[in-house]
Amino acid sequence: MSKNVLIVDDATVVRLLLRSVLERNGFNVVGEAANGNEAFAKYKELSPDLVTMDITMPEASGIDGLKMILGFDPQAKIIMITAIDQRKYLLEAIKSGAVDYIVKPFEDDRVISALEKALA
Amino acid sequence: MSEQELKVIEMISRMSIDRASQVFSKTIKAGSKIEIVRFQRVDISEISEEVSKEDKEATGAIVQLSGEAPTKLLFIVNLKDALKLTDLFLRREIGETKAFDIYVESTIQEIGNILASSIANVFAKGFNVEMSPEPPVVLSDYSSSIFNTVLMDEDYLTDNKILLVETKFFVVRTAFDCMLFLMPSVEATKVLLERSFANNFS
Repeated sequence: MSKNVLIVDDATVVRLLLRSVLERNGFNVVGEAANGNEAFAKYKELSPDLVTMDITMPEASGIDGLKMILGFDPQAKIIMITAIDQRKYLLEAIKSGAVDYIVKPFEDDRVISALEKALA
Repeated sequence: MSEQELKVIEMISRMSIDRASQVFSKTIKAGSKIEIVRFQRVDISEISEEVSKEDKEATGAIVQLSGEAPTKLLFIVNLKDALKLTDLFLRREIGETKAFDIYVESTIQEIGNILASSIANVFAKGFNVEMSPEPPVVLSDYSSSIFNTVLMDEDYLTDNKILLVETKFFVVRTAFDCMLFLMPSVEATKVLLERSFANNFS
């Protein structure tokens, strides 16, 4: 059975691109959100198997969204997909409970292997 | 700022732009090069006048890099070429996007974000300067109007002059009229110089 994914990114084109990559590879995109607050609301509503989360977003960042979701469901699987390639952010995301960290611009294979590994 | 200090800032800018160039190629999946065509302290009234002479409809992403070395970035594209960039970003045939829409706006937003992040990454990794981009603001207007929005910030001015790093883009097989401007604040130049000399970068 295909796994349900929630895509979180403030850029419409990134959500569109990720949706296309995921659906081509057998994942089911159940929802999209454009900031950390929306991500938390959608997570509670949709209970996805996995979340892909950008970091730089308005209102509430991806790190805020990550903490909110994991505070609600400590078993949540969240992969950060961000253009920020800095140790400080990587460590904060991993310490806060992210299962992987992918730097944009992403390769499709890297995204798919990260999702498969997280869901194995 | 002395000649030597200005040279150091120019070298840091070149390193940052080279990295942005690599990231841009990967983003649009096409060979490209971003080249610095001007590194200069310029009078804001002169640069405003210069930009208004070549005024055209454009879309631009303004990104504030926050942290220890506040810097502004403006990625600006001629409206017609923004449509081509959208096709490349979405891996479509060039010409598929016919008119300005939310996807074009979002493409410029995301490219601004990726370029700004790559520059912040160079500052952080190479010079131990903590930086992160704020979410980009996208404006569609005449290029002079977009440019003037970025210029009006006292934190970036000394004697009514701003340090401007102007670049041009060269993309294989496709002509693009787009530019990237980097504007380090007065504070940013101080911090970058301190960290550079602390790391014997001179």
